[in-house]
Amino acid sequence: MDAHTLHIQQALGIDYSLAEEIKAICRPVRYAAKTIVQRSGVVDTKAIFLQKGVCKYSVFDKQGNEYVSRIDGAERFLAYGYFGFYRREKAVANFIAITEIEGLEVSADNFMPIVDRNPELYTFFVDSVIRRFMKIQSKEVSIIQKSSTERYQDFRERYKDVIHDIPLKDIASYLSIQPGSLSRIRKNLSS
Amino acid sequence: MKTRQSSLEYLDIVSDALQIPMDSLLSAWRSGEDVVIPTSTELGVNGLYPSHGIFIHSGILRDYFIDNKGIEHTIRFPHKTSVISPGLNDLKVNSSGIEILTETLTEVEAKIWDFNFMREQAEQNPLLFRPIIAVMCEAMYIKQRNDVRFSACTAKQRYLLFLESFPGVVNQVPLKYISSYLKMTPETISRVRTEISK
Repeated sequence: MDAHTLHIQQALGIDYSLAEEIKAICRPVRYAAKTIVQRSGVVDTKAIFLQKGVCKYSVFDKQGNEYVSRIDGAERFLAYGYFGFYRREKAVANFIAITEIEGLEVSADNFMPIVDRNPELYTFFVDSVIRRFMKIQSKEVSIIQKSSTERYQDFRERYKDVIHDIPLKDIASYLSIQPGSLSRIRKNLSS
Repeated sequence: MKTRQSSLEYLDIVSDALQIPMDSLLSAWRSGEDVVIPTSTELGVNGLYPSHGIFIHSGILRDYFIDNKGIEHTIRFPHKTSVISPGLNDLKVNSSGIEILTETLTEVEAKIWDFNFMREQAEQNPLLFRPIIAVMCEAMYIKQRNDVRFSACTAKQRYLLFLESFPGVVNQVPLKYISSYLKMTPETISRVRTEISK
């Protein structure tokens, strides 16, 4: 059995034969750390079955400050932008490799015809969008409800395998904590 | 009820962007029920339309939650052409177990669909999954955009952004909800309003 096909099979929870069909339209890619894989404002209909590395979604304001809205390591199937992949519209955020990332890249143009023939894949998409929506909502509530320390502890737990690869400024931005406060929190937790 | 011109324009954009034939989209659209919901109606899991999606023609709603100290926090004002899903259990309960509630702040004219019925329809015609996904992406985007935009602003900038993000909402929504949404005291909002009107 092919490792790439198995990865796709697990990521989407589908039959091996369907995974093989999808693998045939994917291409293996590797992006160096800090590569902006997709820029906001550009229409890009690609997605990746992420096999290795950590990435983030972020936007920059007019002063060049970066706001990180999402960090992903373990997740296996990621659209570079929901708007590009599902709607063929301009991306609203940047998709950036934090570390070197590796995976199988696929474009919606090739993928959607397969999806139309296999509607169970739509169910996967609907569920993954719902899960994403829940995460945003849950983060929104936790910013109001939890202290910075608790938010950092939750983050450390959830990203324990990759946290050492993520720059502190990205963690601070993602958690809506001032970088100075984050250093203090980390120091207090370690002492 | 006749399909409104504004809805037709909306469907036209959706049909084009998602590559779905207009007739499939129209038949799904027409399967929804036209309703008028009174002011101060609780929607969703414990209220009216427990498992439905709603497309808003007119009127304003708010999403809020009650924290563990019993304090209410307003987090969103769905209005005009936004599609919300008060009944999707999965959407409303997040990992901290807090339920997001939805209530109407004005009379709301809307079109509603039962989710299970929509899903059955989509299983018959998989292309109809596309608008369901697209609509969720939009809801997610609006949520995230406001979070990001509000996070690094002065009080005045935040208030101006609010006016821009929710046009027409400000005069119809009690100040305490706006204050909660913007995380600014009512006094600060009054001060900012005076500054802007100068």
